[in-house]
Amino acid sequence: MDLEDQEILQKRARMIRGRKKEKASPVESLLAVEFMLIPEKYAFDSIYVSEVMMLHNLTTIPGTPSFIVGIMNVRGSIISVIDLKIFFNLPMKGISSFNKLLIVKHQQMEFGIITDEIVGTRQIDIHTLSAPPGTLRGVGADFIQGITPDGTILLNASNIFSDNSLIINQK
Amino acid sequence: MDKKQEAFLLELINDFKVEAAEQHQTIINGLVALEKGPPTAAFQQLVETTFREIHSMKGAARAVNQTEIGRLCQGMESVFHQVKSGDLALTSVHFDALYQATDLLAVMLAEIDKKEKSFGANTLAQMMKRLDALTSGEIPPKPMEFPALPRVQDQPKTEKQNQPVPKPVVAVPPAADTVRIATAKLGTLLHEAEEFISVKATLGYYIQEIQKQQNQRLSGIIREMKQFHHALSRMVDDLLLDIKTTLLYPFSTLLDIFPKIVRDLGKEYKKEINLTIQGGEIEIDRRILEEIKDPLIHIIRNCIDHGLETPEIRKEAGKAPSGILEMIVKKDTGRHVILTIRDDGTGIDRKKVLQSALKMGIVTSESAERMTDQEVFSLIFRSGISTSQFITDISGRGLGMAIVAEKISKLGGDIATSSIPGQGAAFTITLPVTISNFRGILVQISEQFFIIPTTSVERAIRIRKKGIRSVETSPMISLNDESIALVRLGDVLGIPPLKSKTTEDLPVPVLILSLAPKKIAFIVDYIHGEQEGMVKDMGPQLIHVRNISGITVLGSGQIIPILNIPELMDSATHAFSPGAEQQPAYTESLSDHQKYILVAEDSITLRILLKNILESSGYMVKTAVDGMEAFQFLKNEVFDLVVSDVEMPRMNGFDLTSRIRNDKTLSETPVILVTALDSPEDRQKGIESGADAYIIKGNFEQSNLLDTIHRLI
Repeated sequence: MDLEDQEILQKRARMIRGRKKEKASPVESLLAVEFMLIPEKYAFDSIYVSEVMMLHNLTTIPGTPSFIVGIMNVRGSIISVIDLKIFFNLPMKGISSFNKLLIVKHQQMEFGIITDEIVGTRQIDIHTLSAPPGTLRGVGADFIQGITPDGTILLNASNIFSDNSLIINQK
Repeated sequence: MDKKQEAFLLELINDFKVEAAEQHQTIINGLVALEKGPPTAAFQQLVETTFREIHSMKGAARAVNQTEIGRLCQGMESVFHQVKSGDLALTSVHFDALYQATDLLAVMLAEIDKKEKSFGANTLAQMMKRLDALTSGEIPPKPMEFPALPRVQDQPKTEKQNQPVPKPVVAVPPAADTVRIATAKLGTLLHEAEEFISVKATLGYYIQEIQKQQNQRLSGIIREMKQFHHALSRMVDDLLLDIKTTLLYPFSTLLDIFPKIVRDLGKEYKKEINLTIQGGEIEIDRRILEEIKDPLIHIIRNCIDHGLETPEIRKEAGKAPSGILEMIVKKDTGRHVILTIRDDGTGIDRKKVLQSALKMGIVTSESAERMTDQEVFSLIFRSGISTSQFITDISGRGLGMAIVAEKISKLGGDIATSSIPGQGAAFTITLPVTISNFRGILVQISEQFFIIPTTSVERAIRIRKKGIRSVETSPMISLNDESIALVRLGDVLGIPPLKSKTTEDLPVPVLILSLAPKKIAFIVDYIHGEQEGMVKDMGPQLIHVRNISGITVLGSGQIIPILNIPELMDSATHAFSPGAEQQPAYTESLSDHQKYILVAEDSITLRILLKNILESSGYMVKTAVDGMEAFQFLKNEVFDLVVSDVEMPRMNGFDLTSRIRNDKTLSETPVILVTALDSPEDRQKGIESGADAYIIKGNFEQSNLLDTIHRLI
């Protein structure tokens, strides 16, 4: 192989490397919905959020673990409502109709996450995230993707959707 | 292959699967019929039909690259080719091989989509070898069991293998007016139509809510809305009924599998069986057909294993060597289908059933003697009862018939049995033509609501504390000489009871749930009457929650969990000390505590409606068609309360009330007048006659009546 050929190959290699980087960049920041689980601020990747609504007509189901608050009728389809506070060792307080609900959906899985308040949406840069505190262990730690410089906790949507402990099958 | 082509091939394969399943069944039917040894003409026709089906399956299989299926068909086809040409006479050796080939074919068809096949290349090769042996004459042909086929002169033996298949000789069902639709699509359609039930219920609910406003200006609109609601209800009901009819399938689609099953089992148990099937053309919801398949197979196995005798025993008993087994489908006048399965075997042995029941402690030896045959035979539907001394792998464990009965009752059907010793037994299964909407009793515990399927509720009663006795620390009640364990539904579901305001011994509502053979009485806080609706699941996250089978949505939009009765009974049983259920209970009869209400109403609809409302709230009810009849009943029996219409023939409600008030023994009985008359004068007249309450039908609500009754007694 002569020098000229080698140069062409190297050029090509550089091009391919460059292309890869270009493709990867959009994932590095994401639009998230911010909400309060008092006293902390959390965020969920907005591409999974189908809507935000008030809590209404909640029906509790006996025999379900405490993170399942109940089920709700959202325009004809039945979804369960979960309280994430248990996983993050946050103080539990009573649920009222003031609570707002974040409906999240990924493929077949859909449920409502109960919040104390919806803050709004914001762009989060993945690079700026720091690791969750070491004090948090177990399921709670898996559910966190990272913490923004101003202290908002970004939830790890794909881990939450794929976690089998959230699915109740008492057969 | 590009995407489009791939999708096309997939569609083709799906079509092939449907077509092949039908062809497979026709081939089996052909084999079973041929084995019976029909007369020459019919024999030829059957050979022809079967040959043609195999041939076309071969062609179709090759078209969709199912080469293995194609090869197997080829092997079977060669056998039939020789039979057709008269070179081969079918004997039991041939039939056995051909049946085995169809079994393998069934496996292959079922596993088309599977990457890992349960059969290897070896299985197919061996099968092919067996089939080849039949045609190559390696097996010495046995003497002809069938009448010799007449040689057709103008059809020389040298006909070619791939000669075009002759025209069909049997009638093919007309295809012109039918379309083939995937059942999944019909299912979706039905599902969507069912959603309208909740639209109907919701509209009814809103009308009721608006009516409560008592706004004069709205009354015109409300009237119009009511008419609209009425029309909508009818349209929804019609639509639902029509869609359900599209899901009807002829019974034969299920019954067709039985000739082969009966043949195989007959061989296994060395019994000769003559199977008759009638009424295969009668249609029924295909979902019901799917559900009753296993129960039917179980009953047929029971008939063959326990019922029919071997030829030797039959001869001794003076019967024909081959037993008769019948499956007869009939339509009754209503929306029901009756399937009778009958055999002419030994019948059900009363003694053996009773022995088994005694051992289980279900009956006592004294009561056993008094039981009628009918009562004894019905015991076989309770678990643990078997007449077989031997436990075989197919029957004799005593669980089967209980499961059969449960499955049939789940479908809204019923099973009964009758038997004459030495002459046989019959099972009569009544099934609804379509699956009906779900009906359940709405109950309340603390602040939560639940629905209990009406089919599992045996009855609703009210009890007082003194009616409860405890047996080895387990509370029990007794009802019609039967002791039934008593639990709080709230305790089973883990719902803490509300702190009671009074220590007064108020009667509490109790629902007696039954799931053969178990019966448990559940205490609830309130019974709110019956609801109709459709069952939904609880969303993707709650796949299965213990004690709960799904939910239904009320007209108000409220979600109500439906209780899973088998699991609930099981959970409740764990709350007792073991064996407590079978303990004799020394309890006093409850009949003193259950309130007895007399309803006088001349309209049959309202009479039944009132009876249902009251009974589902735990009252015992007797009905009278007018005041005169009601008064006669009052003279003969003691009632706790009378609910009466005002306008009735012979004696109206006012007169009935006055007569009650003027009668020495009856004067204390509370009377509630329920009426359409709503003028101040009528109300005055009602009070003058001595009625305790006056309820207007126009804005009549269940709870209003029940509250009033509750206050009075």
